[in-house]
Amino acid sequence: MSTKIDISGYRGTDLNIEFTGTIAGSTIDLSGYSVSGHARFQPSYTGKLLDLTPTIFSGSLGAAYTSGLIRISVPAATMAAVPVTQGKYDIEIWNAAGTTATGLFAGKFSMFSEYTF
Amino acid sequence: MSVKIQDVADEIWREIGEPSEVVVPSIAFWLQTNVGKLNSLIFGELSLNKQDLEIPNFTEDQKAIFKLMYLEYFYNKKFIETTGAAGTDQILEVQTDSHKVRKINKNELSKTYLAAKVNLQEEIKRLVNGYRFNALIPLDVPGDDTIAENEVVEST
Repeated sequence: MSTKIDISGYRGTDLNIEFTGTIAGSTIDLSGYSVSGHARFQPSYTGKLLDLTPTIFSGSLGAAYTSGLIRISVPAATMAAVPVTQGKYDIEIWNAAGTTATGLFAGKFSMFSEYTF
Repeated sequence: MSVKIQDVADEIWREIGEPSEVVVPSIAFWLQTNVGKLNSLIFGELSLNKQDLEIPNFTEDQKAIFKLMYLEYFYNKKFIETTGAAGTDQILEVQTDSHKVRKINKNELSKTYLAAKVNLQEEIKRLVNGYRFNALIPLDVPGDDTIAENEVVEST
């Protein structure tokens, strides 16, 4: 079951979010996993609001991927094209073979407008 | 120039007093997913552009009706919240020694929300009638210069 976390983005502003994946209080060892995540307007909506392009990275707490850290980093130019709405997103990790997906985080994705452009 | 959904959502949010429990994106989502309801009311053919989530050729008149529709939804939601199980509060006042605590009577609150909702429904009806009247296009404008069928026109 994914952890529910609502996130927000602003048009024309970099989106930088870091998640820590844990199971029963312990960080997940993400070695050998890949990660993906999309935000959509509605579940069956064909186009994506945003490809969150999450990446697994090594933090200061542990070596390699044992820190369970996942980073979302979307540049301002990409964010400027995302329409103002409230969609949903989720982030899932895939095993090395790409056959098993596990949902880690999910929630609302609120996109706010900008006034400086 | 077409009215933008994000601007309508922003207007609504400000007009309802910038409440913390509602955000502009959630209003925008409601507007984007209720275009069909607006179409049914105004006999319109508006549709949501799947790319930018905007409504092409969305006019100021249509915006006025759409805003009221959202407000009706908003107060209906408030009404449900105060009448539902979570809104029930049987203790209205607690008094002990010299201290007294009086709570908000949620029953009265729900009546206020219901009244606001009913008022908005009436307002929507008025606006929709006005919109439909303005949108009418006459099929024929008869005048005294028309020539009736089988009428003989003498040339001089």
